[in-house]
Amino acid sequence: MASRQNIRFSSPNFTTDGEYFYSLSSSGNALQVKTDDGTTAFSYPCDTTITNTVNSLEYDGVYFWSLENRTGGGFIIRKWAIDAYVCKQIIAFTFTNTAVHTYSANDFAVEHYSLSLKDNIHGSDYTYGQQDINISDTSMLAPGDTLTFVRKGTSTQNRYSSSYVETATVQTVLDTDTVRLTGLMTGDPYGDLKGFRGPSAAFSATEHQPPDLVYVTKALWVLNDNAPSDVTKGAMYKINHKTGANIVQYSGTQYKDIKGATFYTKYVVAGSYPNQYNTTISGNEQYVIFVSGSSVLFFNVYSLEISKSLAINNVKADLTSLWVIYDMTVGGFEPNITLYRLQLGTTYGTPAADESWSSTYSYEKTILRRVVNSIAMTAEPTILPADGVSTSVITAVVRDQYNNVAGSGVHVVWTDDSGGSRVTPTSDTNAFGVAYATYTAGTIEDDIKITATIANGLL
Amino acid sequence: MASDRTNSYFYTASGGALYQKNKVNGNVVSLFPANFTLGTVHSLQFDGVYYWTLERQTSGVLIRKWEIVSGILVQRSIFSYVSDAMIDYDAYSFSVDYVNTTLSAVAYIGSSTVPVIDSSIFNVGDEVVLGPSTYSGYTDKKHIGTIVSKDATNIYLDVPLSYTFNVGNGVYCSRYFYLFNKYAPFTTSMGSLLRFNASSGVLTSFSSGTIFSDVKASCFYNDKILFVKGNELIYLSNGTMFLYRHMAIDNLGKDRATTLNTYAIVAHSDVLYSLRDRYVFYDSGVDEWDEEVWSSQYNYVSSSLLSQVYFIEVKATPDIIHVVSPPGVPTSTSDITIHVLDQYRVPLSGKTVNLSTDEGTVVPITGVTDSNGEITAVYNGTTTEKMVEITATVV
Repeated sequence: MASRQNIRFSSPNFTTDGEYFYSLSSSGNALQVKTDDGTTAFSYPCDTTITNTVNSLEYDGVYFWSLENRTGGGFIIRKWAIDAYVCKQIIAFTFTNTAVHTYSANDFAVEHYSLSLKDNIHGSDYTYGQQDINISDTSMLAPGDTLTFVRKGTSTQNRYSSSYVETATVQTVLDTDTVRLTGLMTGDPYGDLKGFRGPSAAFSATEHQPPDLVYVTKALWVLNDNAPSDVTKGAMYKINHKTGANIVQYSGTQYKDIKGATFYTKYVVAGSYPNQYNTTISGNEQYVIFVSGSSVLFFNVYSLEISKSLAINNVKADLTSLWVIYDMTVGGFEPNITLYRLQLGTTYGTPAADESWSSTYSYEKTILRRVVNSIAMTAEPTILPADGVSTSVITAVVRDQYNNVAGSGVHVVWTDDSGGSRVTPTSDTNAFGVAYATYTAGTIEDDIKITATIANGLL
Repeated sequence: MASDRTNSYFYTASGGALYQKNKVNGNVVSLFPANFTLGTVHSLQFDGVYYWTLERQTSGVLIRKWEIVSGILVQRSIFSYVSDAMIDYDAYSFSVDYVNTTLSAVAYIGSSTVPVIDSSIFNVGDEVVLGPSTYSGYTDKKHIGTIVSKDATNIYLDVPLSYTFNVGNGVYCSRYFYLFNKYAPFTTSMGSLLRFNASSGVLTSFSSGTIFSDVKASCFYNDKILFVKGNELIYLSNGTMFLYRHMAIDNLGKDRATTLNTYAIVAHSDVLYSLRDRYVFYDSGVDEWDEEVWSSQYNYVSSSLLSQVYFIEVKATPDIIHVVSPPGVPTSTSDITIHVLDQYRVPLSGKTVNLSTDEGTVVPITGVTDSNGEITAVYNGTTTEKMVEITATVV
């Protein structure tokens, strides 16, 4: 049996740009890029020496961000760009311990948004020479935010100081899909003096093309092992990504000693993959997600509370101990988003067996799309007279992997082992994720087993 | 490790002598003792005429130029670089550039005119070496002179030829050697590539950056300086030291995570020879990577510098799908994209790719890559939950 190892990184950090997996190796002092099977696709030497182990790596669509603990206390967050085949440090924030703050962290998340250009309501589908720009979603934008416009299809290594990108600063947010920039846009990514373009540019109204992309980074969220003035708790530190200044901290034991975190936004997209366009955020779903035991907790950066919990399978064969998750990243297209977990081994097979990968890190996957995870059944009453007419109401509560009820319209197929099919053949769940069936008693005393089956588990 | 003009032998400096070995089987063909004490050589280079060595000193490096004369390795130049206020010298690798052409007609003894195939590669002021001669009576002779002028077909030397040289005999000129130094001038926080005049040994230019630190293997090939950094072979333009291109090399250990040491490289006829202390290979019998360790000996592994299929990237979107359901219930499929690239990451078009899977079906099972080096297919799921493998093979 071949090993289930895939990317095989030597350091406990990774991220993805949707195409490749990236890891920052302090021993090799390079940003290593691999495909799923562990083949090295690229390797960009760093222009700055890193001496500490990098615990976490994040990608915000333009820049890479790394987190490392310092020898002697504190941590360093670095921002990197790939420039002329070199991994270039843009800025480094060093956090040293103070009377209030004891800095030590294994993971962090970069709050960033991947948006797109919308067709311009001011009569042009292009950005060149424009100051008011239409963007698919402005709900997270504020004056002073830096927007990076990227020509679609631009590879990760060309997203810094190339003609395919332009940065601009938000002056005001005019409405839900328009921002006014501090100056006119001058970028010419197609060499035609038209600038970046929306989904209808040079296309028919019915046949959209993917629009050019707009990225914005808002903040850094560090899962610090110590709360301010209280080392018995951890804390979520919100840090200004431009200055490195501490903005606010949220304390709690749930944030202590966390390994494995990333940022996840649930986008609503128009069109279907691969031409998805007009990205907007659905119902303020923007989370720092992090591992806690065998769950992933979703910290909503707007409501500032943990609003979801996802069951992940990182339990070893002994059903007790857990595989440590060293870093996480998300990839894929809505609705099929995959959560990748960086581990040093996995458990699989029947019966389940542990496979340790000694010192190389590979990923395991969890799907974030809602799927049926459990069906809980009850019968009322549970004992019927064998009179051929009495009935029992059978209830099935269908839940997803977030332990939320499935909602309406899930088709449940009912069977029983009475030999006479005395249960309602099919029914659909209601808005509470509950499906009902009726079992009619037979005329011979027996134990009857009723089974509910859901063929299509996608929710 | 260094080569020569024939590509039949490899050379290594060890124990105060230069060993010439058969490239194929490692047999020692010749041994050339040095006429001066030679310490541990960390880098050996060949510039078409001379052998160059790099030795490390207590506080600096020693670069020496040697010539094989009558079975002896004769020292021709010695340049010692000792750390000073400007720069700390600490290096393991260097390379020597050269340009070369051949004689277009016989160049006779006593003449200062040298007819060459290509005079454009030379500059007035270049020090050139003619030879070794194959002209009867002057076999193996060399002549050194400085170019005082040139035209489209000739170069004119400052001193008349001491011997006669045949049509096809070589004309060589080394202008610079390049030292991969651990530190940069005025700073120890990064490395540098230091460019020295090959005749005088004077530092003429430098380029700083961490990309140049801790470089152990480099060579000169086809007007480019090649060196190994991480998992890349990096090409620099000769003279300017600008980045020219990058090539992926497979120098990962059997764990596919750690990078193996490459001790030296030589390039010849579009093949890169990398000196290693082990060979890593995929053992299809046990479906895992394995290695053959050569303990205290070094051998080369070769890789092509010509564009060839290197990456076959298979992507499934989504990569987790629903099992095939009973009729009437929607199932889930996955879009498969196969991307074929060469080692320079240039997409390869027109390549026939065959697809297979250990469970379920993939449609179509064969395709030809487009101008982006891509083909797409659709995977139809299985009836039971499991991990499936989709394999793409380029014909």
